[in-house]
Amino acid sequence: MKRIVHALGISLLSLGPLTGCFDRVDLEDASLSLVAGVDITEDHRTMSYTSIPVFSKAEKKSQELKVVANTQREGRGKLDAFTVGTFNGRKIKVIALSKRFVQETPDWFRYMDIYFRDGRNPITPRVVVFDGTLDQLFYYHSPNQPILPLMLMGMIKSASERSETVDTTLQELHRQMNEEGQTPFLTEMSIKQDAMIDGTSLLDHKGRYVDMLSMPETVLLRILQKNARQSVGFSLRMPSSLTGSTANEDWVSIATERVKVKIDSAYAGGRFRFFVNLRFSASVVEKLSGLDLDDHQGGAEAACAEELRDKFEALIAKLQRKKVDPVGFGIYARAHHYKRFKQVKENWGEAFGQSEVKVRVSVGFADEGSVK
Amino acid sequence: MKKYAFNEITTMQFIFIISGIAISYGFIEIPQVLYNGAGNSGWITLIFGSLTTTAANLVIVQVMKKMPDGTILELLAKYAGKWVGRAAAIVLSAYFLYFAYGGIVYSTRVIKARILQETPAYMTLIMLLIPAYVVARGGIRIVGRYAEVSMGLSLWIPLVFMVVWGHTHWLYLLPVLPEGWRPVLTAVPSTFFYFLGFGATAFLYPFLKNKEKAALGVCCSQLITLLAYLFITLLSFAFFSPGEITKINQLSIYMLKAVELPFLEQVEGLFIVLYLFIFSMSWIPLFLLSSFCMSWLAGRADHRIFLRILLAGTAVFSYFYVPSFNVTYEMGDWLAKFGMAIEYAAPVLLLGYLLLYDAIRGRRRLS
Repeated sequence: MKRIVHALGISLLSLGPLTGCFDRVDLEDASLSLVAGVDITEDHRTMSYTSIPVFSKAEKKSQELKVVANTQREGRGKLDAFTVGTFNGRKIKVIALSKRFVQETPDWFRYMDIYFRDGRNPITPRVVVFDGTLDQLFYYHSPNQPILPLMLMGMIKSASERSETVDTTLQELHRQMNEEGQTPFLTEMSIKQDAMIDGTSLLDHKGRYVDMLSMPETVLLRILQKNARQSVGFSLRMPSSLTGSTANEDWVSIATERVKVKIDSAYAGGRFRFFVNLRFSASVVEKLSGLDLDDHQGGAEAACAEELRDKFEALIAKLQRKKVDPVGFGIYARAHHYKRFKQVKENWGEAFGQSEVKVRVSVGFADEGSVK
Repeated sequence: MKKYAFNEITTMQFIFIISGIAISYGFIEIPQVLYNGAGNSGWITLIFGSLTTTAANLVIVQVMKKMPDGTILELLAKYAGKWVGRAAAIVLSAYFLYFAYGGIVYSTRVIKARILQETPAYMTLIMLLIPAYVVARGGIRIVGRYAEVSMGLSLWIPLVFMVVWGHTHWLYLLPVLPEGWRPVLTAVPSTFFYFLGFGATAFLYPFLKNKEKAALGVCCSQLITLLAYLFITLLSFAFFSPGEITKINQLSIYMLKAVELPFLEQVEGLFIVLYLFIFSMSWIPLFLLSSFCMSWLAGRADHRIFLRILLAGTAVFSYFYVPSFNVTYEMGDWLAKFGMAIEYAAPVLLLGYLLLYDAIRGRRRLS
C-alpha cells in the first residue's frame, strides 16, 4: 500500500510541470523563414530581407519581405508585423549578403552575431554574396525555377558538389573569420539571364570583399584545400609538337579519379616558402586530336601536368597579388614554423603575398577510355 | 560487524559512479579550460591532471583500507575522536550538497539556453529533482545501478561526435608545445575541478563487494574519465580554429550544431536531452551522499528523510532564485577550491596522520 501511495505521489508530482509547456510552437502559428538577407540602403543603413514559404493554395508560394533595421534582431521584430504567424528563424537555410554590404560595411561580420549567440538559431545556413541589390534577388521569380529558398539551396548544393563553388556555412565562415592563417571565402551569385552561380568571393581577414574566383578557378582552389568532392574534370590543350596536328584545338579532357595534395613549408631568406605537390590520377574522357595515347602516354601525361601546373600557378599568383589566402597556407606555416608565423600572424595575407610558392604536378592516366 | 553489507555494490558500479560524477559537465567545459590554460597542447595537461587524480584517489583507497567496514566518517571518529567525525560529516555534507546544487544549476542553465528558452528555469530544475529523488532514495546500490544504466545508455555519444569528423583540421594540433612545457604544467591544477567526485570513494568503499579490487576500480574509472576528456578535447581542438575556440561557450554542444543530418535537425538539442543521464550523475549520487552524511550525524539509518528535506529545500529555494550562468561559473571556482582541499589535499594529510598514528601506537605497544 505504501509503495502504491509513493508511486502515485511521484507520478502526480511529475505531472505538475507539464502544465508549463512554454516552448511549444505549433506549425500553424510559425512563419518559418528559409532565407535571410542583409543589404544596405543608400545612406548605409542595414536592411533585413526574408523569404517565408506560404502553405496555402495561394498563387505565390512564398512571401518576401524587407525592413530597415539597426540589427538583425530588430529586423525580425519588424518582420513579425508582416507575417501571419510568429517569425521563426530556426529553419534558415541560406543567408544572402549583397555585395555592396560586404564591400562597404566595415566589420560586417558582427551583424551575424545573433546566429551564434542565440542558441535557437542554426549555424548551418549557407552564406552567399549576391552581386546586385537584394531587391533583385528576393523579388525575382523565375518562371523556370522553384521558390527562392529551394532554388538557392539547390544551386549551391549542386555547384559545390561539382567543386565549382565553395560550400561555406555560417559556422565555417566563423572559423575562417577567426583564423589567422586563412582568409574567408563565400559563394557568389548574380542574376544574368537567370539566377546563376558566379564562383567564389574572396574576403580578407577583416571580411572586406577583395576579389572573386571564377568557377574553374574555384575547382583548383578546392583541390588545394583538399576539399574537392567527387571527380573534377579539366579540358587541357596539348602542344602541337606532341600531337603533330596543325589544328589549334588539340584538346584532351580528363576526369580525376584521385588527387593527392601535399603541401610542405619552409622558412628561408625572411619569407615563407611552400612546396605544393599534386598527383593526379585521371581517366581520359575526351580527345579531339589523333594523338595515340598508347604510344605517347608519357608525353601526354607530362603535357597535361604542365597545363595544370600553369593553371595552379596562375591561381596562386592571383591570390598572392590580392594578398588573400583562402587555401590556408598560413595553417601549414603555423603548424610547422610557429615562431616565424607568430611574427606575421597579425597580417598573414601580407606575408603570404611575399612568400614563394612552388607547384609540382604529375598526372597519371588510369584509364584511356573505351575507344582507341 | 558489517554495517553496510546489505547494500553492496559491484566493482563495475563503483567505476561508473566515480567516472560519472567526474565526466558529467566536465565533458562540456573541459576543452575550453584546457585551451585557455595551455593552448593546443592542453591534452598533455589533461594527462598530467589525470595521473595526479589517480594518485590522489589511490591515497583515499589506502586510507580506507584501515577501516574496511566503515565510511570515512567512522574512520575519523575512531582515529581522531567523535567530534572530528561529526565536524567532517557537516563539512562533507555541505560540500556534497554544494557540488550537487552546482551540477543541477549548470544543467538547468544549459537546457534553458539551448532547448527550453521560454520555460522558467525553476520549473526545469524542479523537473530534474523528481527523478533525482526517485533514484537517490533507493540508496547506494540503486545509484550504482543507475550509474551503470546511464553510462551504458550514453555509449552512442562518441558515435554522434564522429559526424563532426568531416569538419576537423588536424593541423590545428600542431605544433606540439608551442610555448614550451611551462603553460602545460601550470595549467594542471585548473583541470582538477573536472576530476572532482572521486572523494565519493571514501563513502563507497565499505559498500564494495570486492574490496581488493578497489584500486583497480579506481584506475579504471580514472581511465574512462581521461579517455572521454581526451576524445572531446582533441576533437574540439581540431574543429575550432585557434581564434574562435576562446570565443564560444560549451564547445561540445556547439560542435554538434554544425552537424547536418538529413533526418534530424538541431542535433545538439537531442544530445542535451539524452546527455541528461550523464549530467544527472553530477547531482544524484551527491544528493545521496549529502543526506547520508546528515543521517550519520543524526545517528539514523534511514537517509530518506534528509534527502526529502534537501530536495524540497532546493526546489523551494529555486523558485525564488536560480543562479545565472556567470554565477554558476563563479560557484564552480569556489567548488574547485573546496574540492582541491577536500579531495586532493585532505586524504594525503589523513594518510600521513594515520601512518604516524599507527607507528606511534605500534611503538608504544612494543615498549
